[in-house]
Amino acid sequence: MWPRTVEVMLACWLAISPFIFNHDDSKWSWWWNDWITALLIAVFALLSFVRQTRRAHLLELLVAAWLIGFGWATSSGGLGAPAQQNWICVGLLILMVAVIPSDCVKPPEKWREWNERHGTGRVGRPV
Amino acid sequence: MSTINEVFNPAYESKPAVHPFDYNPSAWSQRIPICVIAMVGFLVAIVLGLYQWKLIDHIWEPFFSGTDGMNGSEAVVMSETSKQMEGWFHIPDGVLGAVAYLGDALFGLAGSTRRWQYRPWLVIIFGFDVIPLGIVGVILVFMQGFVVGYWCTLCLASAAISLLLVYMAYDEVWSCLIYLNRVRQRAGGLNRTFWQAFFGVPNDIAHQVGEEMVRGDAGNPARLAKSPAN
Repeated sequence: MWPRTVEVMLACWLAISPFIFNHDDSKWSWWWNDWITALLIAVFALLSFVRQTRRAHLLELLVAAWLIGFGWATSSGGLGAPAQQNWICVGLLILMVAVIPSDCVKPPEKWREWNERHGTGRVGRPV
Repeated sequence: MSTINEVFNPAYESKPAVHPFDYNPSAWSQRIPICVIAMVGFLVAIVLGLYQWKLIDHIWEPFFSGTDGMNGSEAVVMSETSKQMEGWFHIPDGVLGAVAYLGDALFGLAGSTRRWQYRPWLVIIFGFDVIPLGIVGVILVFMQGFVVGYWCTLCLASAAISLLLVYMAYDEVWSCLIYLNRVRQRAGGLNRTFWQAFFGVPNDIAHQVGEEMVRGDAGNPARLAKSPAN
């Protein structure tokens, strides 16, 4: 489950980002962007620990696309503000981590079931 | 759940060999070094990125001199070419490189020691992150040297690391492509059976091709050794 743990850590980073990058009080959309995306990432990552919603982490791809798009679109030419670059970087990281399955060190569940049914001797093993 | 011993025991995980190699390219002993080298690449790239972010004052540069009080590395990463790329990506190119190296390490860590068969999509993403992006990175580094007119030791180190990663990662991608191609041939094209195999859903053809590639009776008895030790 390490990919989900990384996502929760990135969500925590986003949640404290407004204070680290010292958002201006008038830029309420920046504050909300950080907090709402942080909340969504954390919720989707935690839902992935539940069997019925184990693929919820894939929804983070939409959040990642939003972060990259919002950071890119609000930067006008050249480098944006640190907070805007932060959205792009975190978005890229989430984009990569979110595609990794939760039980990624083991074979996929369907292959484990297949091996069990066909007696290949590789039940749950990492080969 | 797999035990640590099952996951990291070299005697267990290096067998069986996977066609066309005489070792398992998805073994942890093959992938962990890739992740370590990718993290070295990350450190090199993030130093360049930190300078571009103005969070550090200087870049270590033992060989190349620059201009306007900057050494060669600083002249390269603050050049017009670099600024142009900042205009495209809206983050410094050094930081983008660092994110790409981090991706190499993340995708290197994901998947079982039979992921060439069980999660081909993951190996293809890993291969895309390492091989084409690595080669593009190397081309950009050399273009900076020739276009800007200055050289940068850490950029050259980054290019060398990218090429090393390409060499170390190609075998797993190659085995995976051979597996997918054989599944495609037997399935009769890019149909449901093929895409099931691609996305890690088992079927008879995917199972048969996988077993043949492991047993080594897939039509080419000549197996390739990456090094005499293997």
